[in-house]
Amino acid sequence: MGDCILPGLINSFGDLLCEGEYHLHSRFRSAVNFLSGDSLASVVTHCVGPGPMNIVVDGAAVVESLTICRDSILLNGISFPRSAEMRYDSRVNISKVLDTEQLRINIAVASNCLLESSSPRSLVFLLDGARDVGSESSFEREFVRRTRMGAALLFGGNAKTGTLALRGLGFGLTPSGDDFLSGVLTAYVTVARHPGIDFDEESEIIYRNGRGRNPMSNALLRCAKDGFLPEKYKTAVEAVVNHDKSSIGRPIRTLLEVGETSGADFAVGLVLGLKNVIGSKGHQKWLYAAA
Amino acid sequence: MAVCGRIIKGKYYDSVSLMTLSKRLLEVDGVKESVAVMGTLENKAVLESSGLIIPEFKESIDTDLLIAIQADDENLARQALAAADNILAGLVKADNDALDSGPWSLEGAFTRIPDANLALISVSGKYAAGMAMNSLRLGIHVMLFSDNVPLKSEIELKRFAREKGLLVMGPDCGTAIINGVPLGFANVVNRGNIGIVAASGTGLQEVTCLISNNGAGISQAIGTGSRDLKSEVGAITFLEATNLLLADDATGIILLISKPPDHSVVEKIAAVLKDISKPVVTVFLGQDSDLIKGENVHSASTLEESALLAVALSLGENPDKVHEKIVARDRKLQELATTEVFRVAKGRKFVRGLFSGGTFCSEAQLILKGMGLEISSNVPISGAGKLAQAAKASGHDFIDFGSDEFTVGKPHPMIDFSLRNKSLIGLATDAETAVILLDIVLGYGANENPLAEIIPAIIQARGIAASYGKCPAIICSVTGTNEDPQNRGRVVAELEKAGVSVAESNAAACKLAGFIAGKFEEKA
Repeated sequence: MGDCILPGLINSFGDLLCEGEYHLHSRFRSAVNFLSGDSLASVVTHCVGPGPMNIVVDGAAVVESLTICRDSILLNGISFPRSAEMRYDSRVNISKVLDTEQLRINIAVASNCLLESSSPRSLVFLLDGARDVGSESSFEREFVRRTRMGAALLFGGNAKTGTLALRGLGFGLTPSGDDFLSGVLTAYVTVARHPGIDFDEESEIIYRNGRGRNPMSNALLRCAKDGFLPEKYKTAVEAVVNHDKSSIGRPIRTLLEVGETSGADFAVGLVLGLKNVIGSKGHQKWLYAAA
Repeated sequence: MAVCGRIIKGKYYDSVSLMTLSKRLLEVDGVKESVAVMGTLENKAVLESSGLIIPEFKESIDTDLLIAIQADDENLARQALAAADNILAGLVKADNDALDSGPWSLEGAFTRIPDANLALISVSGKYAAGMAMNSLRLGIHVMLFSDNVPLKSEIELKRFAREKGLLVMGPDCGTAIINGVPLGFANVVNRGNIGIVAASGTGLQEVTCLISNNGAGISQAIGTGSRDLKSEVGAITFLEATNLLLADDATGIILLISKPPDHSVVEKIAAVLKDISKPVVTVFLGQDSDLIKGENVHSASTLEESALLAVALSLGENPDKVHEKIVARDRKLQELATTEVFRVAKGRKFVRGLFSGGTFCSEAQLILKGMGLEISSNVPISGAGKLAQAAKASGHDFIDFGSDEFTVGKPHPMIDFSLRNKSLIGLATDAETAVILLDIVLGYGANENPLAEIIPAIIQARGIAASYGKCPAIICSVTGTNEDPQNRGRVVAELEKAGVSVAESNAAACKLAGFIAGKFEEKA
């Protein structure tokens, strides 16, 4: 290995990692992304944490090569065992009985938490028009307008056009629109497991039309469609859907730590998606008022 | 107006880097707008609608990075594009430096620095305790910068450390100066014979700076973390650190800083201080000044008073003179308040504090409550009202922008002024605001160029307020020294040029605000 710097031991690995020889895609301080065909695998630090396609190690940034075998993971050519106790279970666990009254309260609590704590550059303006303080930048003004329009279409019965309008829209390596769509998809998929709620068609439309050429966005969308999520996302979703309102604040705030706005954008999508689901059951009119 | 742009292929930057790039490009002369986004169809459509598209962009794909710049003319736009290369190179270099600087594990760090005796740990709270315990097992002291460490883990770590004769500073310990080396958020201060133990980061910064600015210096400044004086923890670090300073030859005076300790803890501290051989100054903000008595114990009620008492003891002066000195200074503040009142429009009556330091917000509430004001805060002290919604002004309101509700997912307000600036500008339109009280904290870790952040907001706020009549008074304390990277003297001079009254300490700033509010009440 010559002067190769060794990564630390593997702390956890995701349950959706595919076997294969991977090549380096992109490198950041806390994450190194690898691709093998369409399959993504990310070697990450503790601050990013476990995920369906994450391998959590000390010293992620020094990883140069990755091969995933059935029983082992090779980092920089060094083999680490894939022991069962290190496997991260990314499936979102949802209670069998959906308490819509509780869910309605939880959505309001999550929404307030987002309004209080989200980055001003996130899509939180979709929850409250007053949060859009206006911008001197014509790009940002147009971004806000298109996002509002896309969300209105998405929840107003035109899922395909709405998805196409939002896909790839915004700042960052995973643009805000992609994170938002993953949040909406998660809302539809998690509650669609309950009898009497059918969002299969909308989920399929969002998934089919939300995919682009960005492997990171595509991976998150695929995970959301199948009900698998990184730990910070999963904990927040389970808190909103399963638990009482007192358990929501901390996981939502932890989710907001993901990226500059990624966690917040996902959470806004989740909240609006859940609102849409509740509205569709006739329990309550959908409250969202997009421009 | 001209638009230039470029496509960067095969390189990936995180969203923070792209937003930093956009922001820095806007600072280039002549640039009116700058955008750095991925080349998705939708982003290209937005660029087109915004007048920021160039023909080459149409060929780009989702994974390309697009940089668009609108400037007064083509030459300026091209210069900005060239600057983009440098900015991106700088961002990449910072990342690479971080990669090269490693190491990436505790064991790796020991390989590089075998004689290290202190580990500064700043990782997610979930993992911090484990890493701290590993460090203690290796026989080294710990400064735990991380927060969200469970209380149970903190107790376990501190008890283990005490058995080993080691110190755990933290969790949530943001500031320390050990053997002259500033750790975390700390300032460049004189070395000297005053040793400090503090359960407050900004409190520690304020006191070390005031000591340095008044001609004395610091031997050691040890942070304990904010929960150390809770009965569950039992002040383990506070007491261990006090004993270390007692045994330290370079320390002649000991200064102890905290919010009021739990009752059971007071007794433990009192027992240590009762017959202590070195002079001790205590400041337990919000507690009776004679909470802990002892022949060698001098009590203070503000951070400023504690610093001045320690300076007097260090320089061999009579500590009793400190009180007289503060009274004389306060008289001058009252005179200044009289002049300030004439600059403020009738009908304005409330003090609004916008703080980046939590301890400053608490101290402001204590001082102004002590001056008879009915106060509210998002982080209220005992006897103060709780602000139902932190951003809405209704009375004498004090907002700590460092509290969780403002900082989750965002940089600390000592680094990023944007939220506080927004409130500052918002308050300018409020006809009842008489005084806006601010703090600026300098030093390592804080915003490198605070003037570039705060001055435009102050100018904008004053401009807006002027259109409603006279402006509110803006009073600011600047915690720092002239040796800090930001240079306190320069910061103070520029603030004063912008019409801000700069006080020598947070306590002085609060008193000036209180005197002004008092004058308005007299008028009413």
